[in-house]
Amino acid sequence: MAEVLLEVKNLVKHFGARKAFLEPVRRPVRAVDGISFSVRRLETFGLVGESGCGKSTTGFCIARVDDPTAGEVYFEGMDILKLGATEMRGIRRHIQMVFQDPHSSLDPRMTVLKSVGAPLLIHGLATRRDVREKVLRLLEMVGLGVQHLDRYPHQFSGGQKQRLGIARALALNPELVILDEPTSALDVSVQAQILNLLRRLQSELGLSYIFISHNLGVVRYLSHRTAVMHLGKIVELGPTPVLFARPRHHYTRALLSAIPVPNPRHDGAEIILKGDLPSPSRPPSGCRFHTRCDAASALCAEKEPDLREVGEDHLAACHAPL
Amino acid sequence: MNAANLLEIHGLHLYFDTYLGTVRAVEGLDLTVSRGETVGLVGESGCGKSVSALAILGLISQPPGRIAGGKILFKGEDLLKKSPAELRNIRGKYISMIFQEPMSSLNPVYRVGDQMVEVIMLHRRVSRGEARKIALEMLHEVQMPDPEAVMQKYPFEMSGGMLQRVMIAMELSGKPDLLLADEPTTALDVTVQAQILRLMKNLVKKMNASVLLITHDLGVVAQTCDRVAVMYAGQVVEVAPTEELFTDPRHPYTRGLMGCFPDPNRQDAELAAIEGTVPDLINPPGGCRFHPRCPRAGDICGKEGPGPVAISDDHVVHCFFARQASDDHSEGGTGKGVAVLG
Ligand SMILES: Nc1ncnc2c1ncn2[C@@H]1O[C@H](COP(=O)(O)OP(=O)(O)O)[C@@H](O)[C@H]1O
Ligand SMILES: Nc1ncnc2c1ncn2[C@@H]1O[C@H](COP(=O)(O)OP(=O)(O)O)[C@@H](O)[C@H]1O
Ligand code: SF4
Ligand SMILES: [Mg+2]
Ligand SMILES: [Mg+2]
Repeated sequence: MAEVLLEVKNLVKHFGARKAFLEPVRRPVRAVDGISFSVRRLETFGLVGESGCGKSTTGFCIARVDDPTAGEVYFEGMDILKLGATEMRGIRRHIQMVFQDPHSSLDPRMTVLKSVGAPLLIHGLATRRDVREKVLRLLEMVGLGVQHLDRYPHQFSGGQKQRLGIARALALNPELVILDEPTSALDVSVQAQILNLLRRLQSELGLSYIFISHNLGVVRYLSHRTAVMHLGKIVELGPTPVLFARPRHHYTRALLSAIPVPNPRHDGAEIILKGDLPSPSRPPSGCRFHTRCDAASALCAEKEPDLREVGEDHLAACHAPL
Repeated sequence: MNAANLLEIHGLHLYFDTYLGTVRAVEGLDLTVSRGETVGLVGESGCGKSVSALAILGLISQPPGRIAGGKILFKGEDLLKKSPAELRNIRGKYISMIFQEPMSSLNPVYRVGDQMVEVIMLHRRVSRGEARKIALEMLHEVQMPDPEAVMQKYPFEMSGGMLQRVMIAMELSGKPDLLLADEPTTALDVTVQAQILRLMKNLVKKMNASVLLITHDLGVVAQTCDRVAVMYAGQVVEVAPTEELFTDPRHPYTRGLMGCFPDPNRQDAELAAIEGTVPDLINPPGGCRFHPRCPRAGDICGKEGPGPVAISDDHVVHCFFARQASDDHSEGGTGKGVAVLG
């Protein structure tokens, strides 16, 4: 089995809820509530789930944009949550993040040369003399060119901005790139261009990805293994082709059957979940899916199921896996 | 006008005069919707889907908008010739519209029930008590748990999926002949989208209403529409029955779009991305608007706009090479990727 690059153990992130209007009790939002997984070298690890299930928060905690409430995150065997500021500086460049909204990572007042060049200069990977040359090499890597060096972000289309976001993330030669919904704001034709680019970069540069998305089709296409999140928990994790062909958790099955398939002969969703997703500040007892699960028994309402092996390299947290 | 057609749009030209120049947002749009039919209008953002739907109900503000030509026949009468008062009367009673963001049509400071009652009184010309009864019935129709309680809620107390149910209940309460649905599920999660699509499908069938469903998602189209019109840069490039569009797409853009969807059976293949970006509609390319990005384009494509080519009675394609079928949908792709500018 391939070498483990990143290992996440019992990661928890609770947001101390602001006192809600007329609500006497403070209830923390249990955004991420004890998840464990590892990312192998050169792998794309997909993280899927509906909005609010805790995908971005997981990414932020690993990149240490956010501080987790509890848990351990080992990068190349070192618990990075225990590192001090100076030690973390050395690690940080190895873990980079790309966001859904490329505007957020680009300063509108800086030219491409400045915003992509800044991290290179700060980390001593370029000098004033060769920074232009090095930025140009990065731009070429993502399909942009010399004509873009002195432009400002507003002069770029959405797809081009995402290319810049990727160039910036790659500037420091990272090992792991966390891609948080990198194509969700883009049109399908541009999304396809970016997905092709990400694939090519991965094999050329030997990158590992955590690919976060609510778009199951895209995750299926890009990821080697996929983890399905539901209300702050991982409910299923397995090799992508296996998980999509034969999901073992009832939630995964419902989620997959809800994807509209671009084939008119395909029968529409077989399983339609009733009602709304419960709130992450008051998740249901036991299995958090039990209120909407067809197969739920008394046990499901009482006891939280562990993430257990259900097949080779395949885990599911369910008392009655499919 | 064909009697079976509820809506016929002929040669619609819709422009926006801006300080940068005239945006030629819709250029010669033809589209029909017959009774009881669900027609999909698909295309990428900015191609003119929303403004086309807004034009039907006279909701384009002029200026900056300007209808530069065409007809919109509804039950044989040209909506473009109606006065604002006449259009208000048509809205809700004969033609309704729902949007991606239900909050854009709801007032945040009034209870959901009160807003529904107001709208129903207007559309159905009934008393307050009667309107309340209809509102409850409609909430029941959209499978809202506990309709009485929902009536008392403020919009911010409800999820996006629940709000979209309220909108559907409200807009269908007048028993319209035509529902214009502009990306009604785009902002929702897939499991909620599945609920809403199923519900809409069942309701419009029961009411024998027609739907113009605007979406950028070919999956949604495949699962809900009888016929599909594909738009590119302000023009319909291909119209076909849904099944035929997916089995025999003829326009290079339609083929390109299909190639952009990852094929679950070909995990290792590069996606057949469409090169380049959508054109600026202030200076759209001459000839076929798709020619700069088209893998098939010949010399003629930059010089002349392709007229409609009928592949069959109800399959029309605007392309010079429409008659040349091809099995390979991915031919639009380049497999290069490097030089492609997003
Ligand atoms: N800064 C924050 N303060 C309070 N709650 C937050 C904050 N960030 C995220 N949340 C909540 O945490 C949950 C998980 O959010 P997120 O990780 O963004 O989900 P996802 O990326 O899967 O959509 C949501 O309920 C969200 O509202
Ligand atoms: N008020 C307006 N002023 C100027 N241009 C507009 C206005 N409304 C729409 N447009 C332009 O018209 C085109 C079509 O827009 P729209 O119908 O919203 O696209 P779609 O719904 O397909 O994403 C776009 O290029 C858009 O920028
Ligand atoms: S007319 Fe020409 S440019 Fe337009 S789609 Fe057909 S082949 Fe391509
Ligand atoms: Mg997120
Ligand atoms: Mg629109």
